[in-house]
Amino acid sequence: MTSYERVFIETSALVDYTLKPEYRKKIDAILDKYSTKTSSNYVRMELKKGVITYLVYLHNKIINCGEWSEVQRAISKLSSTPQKHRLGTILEVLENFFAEIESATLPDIAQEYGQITHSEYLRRRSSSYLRLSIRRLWKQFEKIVDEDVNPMSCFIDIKPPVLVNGMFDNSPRTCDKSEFECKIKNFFRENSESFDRILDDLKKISEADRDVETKHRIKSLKEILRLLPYNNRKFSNRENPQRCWNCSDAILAVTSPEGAHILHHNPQHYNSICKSINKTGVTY
Amino acid sequence: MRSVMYAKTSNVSEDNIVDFQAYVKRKRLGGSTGEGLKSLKEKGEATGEELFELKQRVGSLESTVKKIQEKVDERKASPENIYRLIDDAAVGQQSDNTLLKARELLQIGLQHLEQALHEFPDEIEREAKLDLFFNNIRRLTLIPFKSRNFEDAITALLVALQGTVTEGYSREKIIALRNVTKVLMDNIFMSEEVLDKCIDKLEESGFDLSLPFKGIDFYDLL
Repeated sequence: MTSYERVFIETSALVDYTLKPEYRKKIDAILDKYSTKTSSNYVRMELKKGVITYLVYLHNKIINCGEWSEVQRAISKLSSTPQKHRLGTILEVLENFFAEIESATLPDIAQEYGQITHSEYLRRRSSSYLRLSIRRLWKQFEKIVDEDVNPMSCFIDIKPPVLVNGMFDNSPRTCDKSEFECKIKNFFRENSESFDRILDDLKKISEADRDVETKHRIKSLKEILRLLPYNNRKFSNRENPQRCWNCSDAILAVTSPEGAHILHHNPQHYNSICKSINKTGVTY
Repeated sequence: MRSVMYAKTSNVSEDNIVDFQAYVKRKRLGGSTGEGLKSLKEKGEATGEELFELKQRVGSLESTVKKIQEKVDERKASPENIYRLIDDAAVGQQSDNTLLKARELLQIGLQHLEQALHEFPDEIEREAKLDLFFNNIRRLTLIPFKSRNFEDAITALLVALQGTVTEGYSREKIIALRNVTKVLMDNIFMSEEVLDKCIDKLEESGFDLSLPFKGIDFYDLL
């Protein structure tokens, strides 16, 4: 087996490793080849504002709704976005999984402790499983990452969501230090050559071939790079969060240490970015 | 000891208590039961027939007291008494009956796992024991527990077992199940650290706790 020195684990890879059974073994096989597993606090920020926020929402909704059907109704009333459909799918798979277990369970104990309804069984087990998943996702970073690279000093005191009276509180989701100006602008300045190359290559993609994410990335990179010569023009993740998040793939690729391979599951975006800055991507 | 002796139980009648109290007064004249009775006879305070009846009643009471004492000792070491020391508030909310039932189901489950390990080469016997263990864990999910961490540990076991039900169990996996079951038995009011250890043990032995999310693409939620 060929072994390498360092691998940089980006957000989607960490999520897949923790929550997707299809990829666990494949990712394990890749990680085994590397002596050092690196990632960035930026990944934890993405987890907290992304997947964890949605799982927390679903968990709290299940706790708040008295019936499983109410949870389904609440999700169906959300605006029609890909996130809404994804949440609906998650609810559906949880229902199928635990309904199967429930149907195979002898009801003898129910006579002793009172009959538990199908709806209550689903609520109890699904909320428990969501708590378990949030815990595993948050802890996974510490479990597999040997080295946390954080050149922008992003959200150093970031905390996992906490349970208060049975409900998760996921705040704060932004770093206090980014209120006025954080170090992102400085990071862009120090690595302006890399970001310029990424932007130049993205611009070469024809309009027809650019997906929504690529369009946002080009726009945000342009705006941040345009600020660099001006010291009086501030930039922070709190004031311009979308600009920052739109560039996340590029930021993570530039953050990854020299020589490290970038483990991702997004060839459409990472292949081009990695090529621009002479980094190697690994996918599964 | 004295309060236990005077406690009214289903095995001790009111008559017995009154007679016994009278006897104790008299017994103060002597030392042991035999000496007390002998002293009463010598002083002419009781006939031989009365003494015989009294001796029988004292013997019965002494046996009852012994039984009560045994039950008290047993109760002192019962799980709910131990847990009360650890987390009084939480135990106050959880009925003793629930705790005992959980321990009973886990204890039976543990025996199934021990047998599965003992008879590991016999594939059918081993898998049958694991099915019985799984059934006990499923039954546990019908009992309402106040400890969220304990509930989550049960869910982790449930997911681990459901994912293996069609695959067969390795020795390593059975050992992990046994270790986690032991931890659960002693930690019905479970700390965060103990829950993490349970999750780690299951994952390290190859159980997949992400099974319910199979087929879900989280990319939209990043």
